Amino acid sequence: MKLQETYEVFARQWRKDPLQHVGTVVAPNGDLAAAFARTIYNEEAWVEMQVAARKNFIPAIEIREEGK
Amino acid sequence: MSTNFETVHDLPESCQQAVYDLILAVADSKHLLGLRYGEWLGAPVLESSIAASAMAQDEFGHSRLFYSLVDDFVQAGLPQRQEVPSEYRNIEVLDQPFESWTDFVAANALVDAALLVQLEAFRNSSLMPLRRFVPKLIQEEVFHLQHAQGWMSLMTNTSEQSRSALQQAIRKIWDPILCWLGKPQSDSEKALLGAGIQDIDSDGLRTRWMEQVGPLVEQGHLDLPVSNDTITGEWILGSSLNWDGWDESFRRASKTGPDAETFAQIECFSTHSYPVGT
Repeated sequence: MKLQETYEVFARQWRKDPLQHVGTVVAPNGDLAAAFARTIYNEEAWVEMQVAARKNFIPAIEIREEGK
Repeated sequence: MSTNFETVHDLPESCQQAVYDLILAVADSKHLLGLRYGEWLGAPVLESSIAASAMAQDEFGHSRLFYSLVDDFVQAGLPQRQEVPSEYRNIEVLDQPFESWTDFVAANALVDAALLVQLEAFRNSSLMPLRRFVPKLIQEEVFHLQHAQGWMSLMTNTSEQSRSALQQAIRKIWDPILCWLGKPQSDSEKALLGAGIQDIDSDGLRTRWMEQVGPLVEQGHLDLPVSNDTITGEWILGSSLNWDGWDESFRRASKTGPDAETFAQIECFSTHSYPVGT
């Protein structure tokens, strides 16, 4: 499949909890990323799941060596 | 405000048959759709194989709930249907296996959208068991459409060849699916609306279906008989439907039912019952 992009998957089990990172999917578009995430990361009874394209992340700290 | 019915036994006799017909048409369609999805564990990508099996599981689960209502009708005295292919009421485009992944995507979008709008019309149904289980089913259907939408967008953007193959696959199933939503002004439609089983007529269902499918057609620049009125924003069907030979009780024009190979796999109605806890 062409034009693959990385999407990060976030979910939460309880509404009182914040969204947590649960994994990553690779898909050609957001709809497929969401559909794939829903079936791949289905181990819990999530109340919410969101996917976000990795390319849309805005670095607050650029990746650097650990401990520096 | 119309009366609510706690069980199918409580339905007035005048609408019993129409409700039974529709419930069985939905049950058989979901059963066959589950089977077709399950035949594609070799999708073009592993993630879609997982999605296909998950959607198959959803559809089988939904059909089981609808079959439990069919069972109730049989308990209430309606004749049990004969277990022969010609008695099946699945949407016609599911009679044979999908020939290609493109056919899968076309059905994923169009058939699932038809089932979704029918389920949504049951949301406030006067038939309480139906009304209770429908919201969860709708939630699951939304993900099916997301999967279809993702594939349609990919196929219409990748190459002219995949775009035109998708267009052809959709054309092939377009009319039977639109007809499946019901013949306007039919006796059964009047009975369903009169008893409050569904809250919208067949043309209303088609409008809702076009609201789901129309934007996908437009975004993909697919040449299909649906267009958006630029002034009112409404989706309009660009061709009239052919009702020749249409049997509203079966929601089909042909009475052949699923092909022999398929039927051998699904014959279960007379040998299983589908008790669902109250």
